[in-house]
Amino acid sequence: MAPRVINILVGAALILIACLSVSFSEDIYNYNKEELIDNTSTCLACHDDMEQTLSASPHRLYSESDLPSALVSGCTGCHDDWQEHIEDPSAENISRADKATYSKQAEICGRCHLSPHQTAMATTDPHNRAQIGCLSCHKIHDNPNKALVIDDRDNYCLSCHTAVESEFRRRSAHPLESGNIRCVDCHNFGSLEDPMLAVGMDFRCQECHAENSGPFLYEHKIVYNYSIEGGSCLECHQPHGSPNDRLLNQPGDGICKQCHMTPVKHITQHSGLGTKLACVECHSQIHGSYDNNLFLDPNLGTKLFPDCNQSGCHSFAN
Amino acid sequence: MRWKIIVAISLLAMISASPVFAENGSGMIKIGYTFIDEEGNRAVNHSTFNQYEGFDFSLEKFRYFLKNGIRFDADLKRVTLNNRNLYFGAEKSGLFGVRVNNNQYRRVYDFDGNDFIRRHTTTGDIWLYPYRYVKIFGSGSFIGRSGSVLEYFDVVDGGMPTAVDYEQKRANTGFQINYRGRMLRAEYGGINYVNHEDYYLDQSRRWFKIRGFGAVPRYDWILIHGGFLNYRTWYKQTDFEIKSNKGWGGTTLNLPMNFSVSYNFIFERTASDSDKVGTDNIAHTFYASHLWPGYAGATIGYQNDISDDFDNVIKANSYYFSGWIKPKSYLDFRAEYGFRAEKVDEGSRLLGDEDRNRFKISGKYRHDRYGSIRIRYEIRTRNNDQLGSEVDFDRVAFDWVFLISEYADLTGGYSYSVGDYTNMEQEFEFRDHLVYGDILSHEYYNVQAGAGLVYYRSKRDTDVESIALHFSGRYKLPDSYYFEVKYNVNNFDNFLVNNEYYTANIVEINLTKDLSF
Repeated sequence: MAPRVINILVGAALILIACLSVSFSEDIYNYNKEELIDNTSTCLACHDDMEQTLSASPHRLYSESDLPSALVSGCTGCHDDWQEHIEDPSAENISRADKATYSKQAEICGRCHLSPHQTAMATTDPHNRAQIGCLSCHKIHDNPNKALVIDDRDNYCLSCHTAVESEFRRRSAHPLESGNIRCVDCHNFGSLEDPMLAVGMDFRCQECHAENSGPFLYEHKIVYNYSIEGGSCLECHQPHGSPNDRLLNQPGDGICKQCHMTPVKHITQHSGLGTKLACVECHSQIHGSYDNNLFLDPNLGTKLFPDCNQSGCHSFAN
Repeated sequence: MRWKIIVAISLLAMISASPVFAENGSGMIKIGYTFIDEEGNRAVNHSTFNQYEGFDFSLEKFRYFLKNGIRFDADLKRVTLNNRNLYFGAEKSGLFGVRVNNNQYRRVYDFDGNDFIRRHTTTGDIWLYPYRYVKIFGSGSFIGRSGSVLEYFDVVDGGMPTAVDYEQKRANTGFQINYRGRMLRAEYGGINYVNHEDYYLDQSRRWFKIRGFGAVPRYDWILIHGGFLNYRTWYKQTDFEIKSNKGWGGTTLNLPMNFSVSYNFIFERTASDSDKVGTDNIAHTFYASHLWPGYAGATIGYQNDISDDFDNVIKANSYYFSGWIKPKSYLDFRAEYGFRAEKVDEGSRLLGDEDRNRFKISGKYRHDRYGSIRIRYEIRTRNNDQLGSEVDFDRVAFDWVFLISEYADLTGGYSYSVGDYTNMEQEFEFRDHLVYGDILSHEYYNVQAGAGLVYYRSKRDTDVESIALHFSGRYKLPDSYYFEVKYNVNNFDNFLVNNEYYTANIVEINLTKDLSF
């Protein structure tokens, strides 16, 4: 694609963002602190037990001793149709988010919580496509947990993704069970870049494993997932857990042979010495190299095969 | 230094919880001692890598609420000289927040446990609302990794240890504007990576990201979003650089009759000083959904993406179908199918054309009184005719939660995974069985008892067996004190490798107090 076209498209994206900052008034966003507090006291005249259910929550109802904050919570901020309910109190004529569709839930929560997480959930996130709404993971009343998650275990995602949990009990695994990492350390579902699109650069593994991330003068093309060759780290590693050491998909040379045949000279020369060693014993710089495009160990000539090097037959540099 | 951090955070938590300011709070404080008797290869059983003999201290699920609306949270789990997993937070909704995390763990590489690496991570977040519509935020992290690692393959028996010692510092800051259902967020950040063993790897990264979201004015059923990212990494010694510009966006239309359609795109250009000069990636996706509220939902999708490195062009088409149905409130069925076909449109690549499939189906039955049962089946395949390689994963997972209301809670499950890798020269197969279960009695005459099992068996081209068994007892003392004893047995055997065996008996004794203010 021509560079100019890319520049135009990137420019269009920027213009789109600028448009988003334009504001227009709409009733549901007409936040008025005094009115909200006043309405809430009307609700509490009948529903006085509800105040206690929010006392340990970020939605704690405003009290006179509160530090002044930019936003306060109140019953009518979430429960629509309250005017009719006040006229004719009935369970049928007051809205409840837990009875609403997932898109309605997103709209209600989005009146205050328009973060990347919330907006991704309302647009591109796979949970959205599975029609899992805010209240599938968050509980508003009677919940002292951080971020109002239903379950305050670090990795409560696993309560639905149970099959994934079993992967962390395999032969090698990321340290999820010991509590040293969390699901959200890698699965950053606060991004508007749909993870299912899975194109372009991805920084998840790089955040902790920078030593393998490059860039290198000689790239192993499968490692970088912006490249046409590939699928990045996941082509060789299973990040949750693997039946093999080092989270590898396969032991030994199996991984290499998913894409590469054994070179003929490895078989025919020096009595097939090249087939008796694992590939990465010599090609140790497999994530990428500054030294040579075969990803050979820079010290190969002295560390593994000093005889070959000293004989003058082979030079292992470049 | 480590103890100073631990003590400072503990003191801060305690002081800030002073009854003078208190409204209410809760938590659990625990002092314990762990005895470990282990033998065999320390490098093979990852679940015990972070078990240490000696005293430990915990302050778990600590929450404190001041009358002025400020909330404190702390989770300091099993703090020892070697192990840390700490969280501390203070926030007032709609005003400010501060969060600090620190944790450390080790990964053991050799038989005796002498070669290991230790990674410690400290992160901090802070945010502030100076004005109703504006949030200012910042965060930082410090990651350090040091020790020695054995090369995975090495001709020298036992492997040669390689020293590892690096640090990575990250910081970012930005602002977010929320106004009448619209969001605009911008942030700038950087990373500095220093490798004390190989200064050629020292690198810096910078990024700038802006993104927005909102409903179209007067047409609030139309949602639009977009963003732009500029990312750059360079090596300090060589000025070697990779940079990426990415723009994305899309729209979701919430149509009448519970229909919705969405379109999303990504345009990205990445360029590097390496032997591979750059790649453009472009993707477009379309989804259409229909919802029968409370009863069922269905989605179909299509994605077209192009990867162009200026010599070669790969085009891919992907198709997606998913649906769910809840015929009764206690029954839930879900299914998902995705297919992706990559085709070399111009030029060539080593991988050639490639197809990928995934299929998932699951069912869940939930009984309000007795718990739930779920079964899940999934298939993932990857076929590459040109390379003659094929990958096939199948998995059946079954899990259940039984709530025996009068006596105990019983949870458990079974998972069976099949993995087949085939290429022109060889095959690799594994069959993994995993059985797990836990039972925890209800309190009876001040006594509560529990037991649990995780049994893992991997067969075919692997031959690994791992067992983790635990028994626990807890006695309630006066004044919300508890005395707890937990006995753990861990066993690992790789029957194909002589020195890959491990056994551990671990006893944990704890004195616990439930806090309530």
